[in-house]
Amino acid sequence: MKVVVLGAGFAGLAAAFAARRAGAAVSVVDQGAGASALYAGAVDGLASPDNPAQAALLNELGPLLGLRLNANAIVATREGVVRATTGADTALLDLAPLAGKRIGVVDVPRDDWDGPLLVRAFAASDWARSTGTRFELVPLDLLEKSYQRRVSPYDFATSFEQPERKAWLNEVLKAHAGPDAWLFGPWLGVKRELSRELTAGVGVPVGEVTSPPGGVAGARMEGRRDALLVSIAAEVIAERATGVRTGTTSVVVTLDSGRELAADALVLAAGGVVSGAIRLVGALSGAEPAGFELSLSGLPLVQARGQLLRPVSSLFGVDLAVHGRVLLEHVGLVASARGAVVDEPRVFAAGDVLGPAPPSVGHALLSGLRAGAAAASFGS
Amino acid sequence: MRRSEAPLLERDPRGLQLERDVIVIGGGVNGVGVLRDATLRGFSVSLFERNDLAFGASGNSSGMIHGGPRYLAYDPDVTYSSCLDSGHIQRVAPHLLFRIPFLMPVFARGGLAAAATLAAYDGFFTLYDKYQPLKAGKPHARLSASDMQALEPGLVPSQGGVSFDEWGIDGARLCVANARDALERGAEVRVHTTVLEVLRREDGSAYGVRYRDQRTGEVGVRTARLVINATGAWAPLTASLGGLKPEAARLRPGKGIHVFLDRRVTNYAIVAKAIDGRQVFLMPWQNLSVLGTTDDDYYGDLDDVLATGDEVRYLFQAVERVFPSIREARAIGTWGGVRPTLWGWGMNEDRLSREHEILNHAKDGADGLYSMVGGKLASYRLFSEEMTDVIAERLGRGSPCQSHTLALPGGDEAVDPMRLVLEGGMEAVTATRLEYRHGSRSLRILERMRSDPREAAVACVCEPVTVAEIRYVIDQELATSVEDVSRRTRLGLGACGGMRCAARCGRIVADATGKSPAQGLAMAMRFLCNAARRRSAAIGAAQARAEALALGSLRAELGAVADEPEVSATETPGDDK
Repeated sequence: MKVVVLGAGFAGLAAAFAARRAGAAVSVVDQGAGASALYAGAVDGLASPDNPAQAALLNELGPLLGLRLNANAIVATREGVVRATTGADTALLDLAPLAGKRIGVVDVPRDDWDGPLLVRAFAASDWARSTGTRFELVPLDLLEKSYQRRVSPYDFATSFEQPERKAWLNEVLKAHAGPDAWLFGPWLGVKRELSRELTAGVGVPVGEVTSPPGGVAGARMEGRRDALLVSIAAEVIAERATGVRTGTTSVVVTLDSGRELAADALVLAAGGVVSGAIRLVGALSGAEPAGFELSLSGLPLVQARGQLLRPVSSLFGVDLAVHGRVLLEHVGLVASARGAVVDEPRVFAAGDVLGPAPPSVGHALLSGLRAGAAAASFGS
Repeated sequence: MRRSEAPLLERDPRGLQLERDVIVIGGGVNGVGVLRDATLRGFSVSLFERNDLAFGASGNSSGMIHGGPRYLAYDPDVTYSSCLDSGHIQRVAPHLLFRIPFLMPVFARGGLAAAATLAAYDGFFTLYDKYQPLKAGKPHARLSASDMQALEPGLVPSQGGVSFDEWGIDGARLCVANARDALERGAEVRVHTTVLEVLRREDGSAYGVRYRDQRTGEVGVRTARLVINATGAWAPLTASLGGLKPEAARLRPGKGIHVFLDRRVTNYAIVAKAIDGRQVFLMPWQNLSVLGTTDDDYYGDLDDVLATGDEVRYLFQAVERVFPSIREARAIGTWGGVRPTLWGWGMNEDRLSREHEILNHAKDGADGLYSMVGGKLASYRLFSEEMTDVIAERLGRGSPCQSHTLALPGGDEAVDPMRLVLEGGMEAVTATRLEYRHGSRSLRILERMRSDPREAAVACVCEPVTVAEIRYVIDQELATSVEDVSRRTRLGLGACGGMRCAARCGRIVADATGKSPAQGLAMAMRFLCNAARRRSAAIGAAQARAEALALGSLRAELGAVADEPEVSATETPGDDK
């Protein structure tokens, strides 16, 4: 049994994982960053698993992806919002167990951080007020060089991975008695899990707020992705898929190089509009037929908000002033609840490419597990 | 009822002394122009603005102080006065003007026709060159086909063309500078304050206004000897607030929209012809490229002017013909405004007069009330001077006009952006953009950074805009919301669509104006929502991915996405609950 998975975001990884666990050989085709590699670190929209087997897979997969899955998690965002979510990158500080405690918010004069106003915003949140949780600003001299004020969060985060810098930070936090937990900007390492190391070293939880797109949460996700693909012994093909052909006995994927991959089943988890898997075409220039299309030839498209999208009867494309730009989040393939693509045997969809649910990491994980299991058991 | 001018009365109907010489309604460029001129001449003036300074056409025009070449053929005096006034504006606000060189390519069937067209352009701009020295403009050049390709390689091969020189300006900055100057000289400026009624005596003469502050709900009365309706496209509505028929200040409002790209895609502005024969352009403007403009009769809500998909596609279609790679360009937004064009029936929008008029409503029985109708951004100072001349004559006093000789705030001396780099630790682009917007006043913003180094943080990376500048425009330039800050600094209008700065700006505005963090967040959401509404018609293939990413990011960071349809276009800060 051979399964090809297109895409290695959360949905593709979950599918590859489930298919491997079901005994299939798995090839993962992936190139470029999509929504998962640009995510903020929060796992939103995670529903209850369909069955105990899936729940067990999810419990195993979460930690491998560096995720703490907790239906009642509370995270702080870099925009001063304290909000509920259904899980998060383990580097994010989960505020839920810290209700009623004192949380030290580090103050660093970086361009991406306005400590005093963030603390005010956190403290004024409904959650902090209803639980009596206090947020306190703690100035820490974390900049070694003045240029660090403007370097990207990614570069700033990696600077703490040097053993002496990490040890120093550990001592600084330990010397500061008082807070029951430490809240940092998105700077706690990319390759090393500094939040876990510091939590162990300091003796109180140390974690981050959410990351901006292109920040450290996505970078950590990519590192864990690579490790996971190695650990499950999936073949990884760093190419773009250009087409899909389904036959009676197999499904064939064409790659950018012209190479063809045959498999018993395909999981399409290439993402939505963010990754470029679904494209808005024909708009403005009038040069092409109008509407949305899948960047892969050979598959039918596409629905939005539960309705089949017909080609727009305009040479000038979809007018998002009429439909609302939120339409961009609601386009996807038409598929059954298990992810089976309608009218295409052997093809299963997961994640953002699967309409009509709005994109979320939780949806990507569960739909990925479903599609991976379904693909691995196709025909058997 | 008096039907004509009579000596002005000194008291209101209750017998109280009038509070001001002049009340100006409208914070567009003509309103603030009169405010400043009249203040400079020693009159006491109050200005009331329903939305924000530069909310209407003034902040949504093509952003040019041009010399009026279109008048050259039939009314060269207008070209002369336009160029002269362009020179005046340049003298009082040199920091706000930037050169926009234009290319006008010739496309004709056959060499003879091309040669004739080129000769006609050449002759026309030879005449225009005579006026260029008035505004420090460069003379035109006649260019060969290969010259045109060398200057602008993306241009479709032409049969040559001409270049000519115009000046660009940020209309919102111009309005703010005029208002700020008047404030410093003792004038009263009330933004987000709606005039509910123009008050009139039994004999019909106007003596003041009743107003409501949208933020506090406070209703009050301000009295004055003269009331000036400088509300642009809103003029007929304002006239009706004085009990006049809207026709007393009749206009033919013409909607014009612009689409802007994420970067400058050309070095020169390029003139193109639209499918209906109208001239449109693609021009480098500040750090963007801008496509403009349309001109269509407008019947909608003036507080909520949105570009439509049709208008965006019309402009792209026109520009694509001469500059094909525009098809791949990334449009990141639109702006739309409504011209207060003079009334006319039975002709196309383009043929309507761009001139201005002062209407004395003594003819309608409302002595002391005047309406300013028509006009263009480029002629605002002249129009304001003419209006203030009328004010001075009616009041029988006032010193001579100085609005063309006294520098606007920031225009008094040049500041080397390198100084801002060295002393403020700013990056070069931050410094040059800051100096562009504020001229010598950028030193005051530098001072803020010195006293609190935190304020040197760049909050909006796209433009860029520092925290110090945000706080400065709140403290000194009457900004009270994220939208107001954006109008003054272009914060949040770059390629990221405010994804990285709007919420932070909301926190700063809330902090500086004594509001809660939740109110700041609500303000940011409203800004994001309105920016998205303005952007939606222009979202094409190149912007779709960024748009979807921004939606996801905002949902993650703010816990929600500001969707388009539900929220009103105008900010009503009083509603921040």
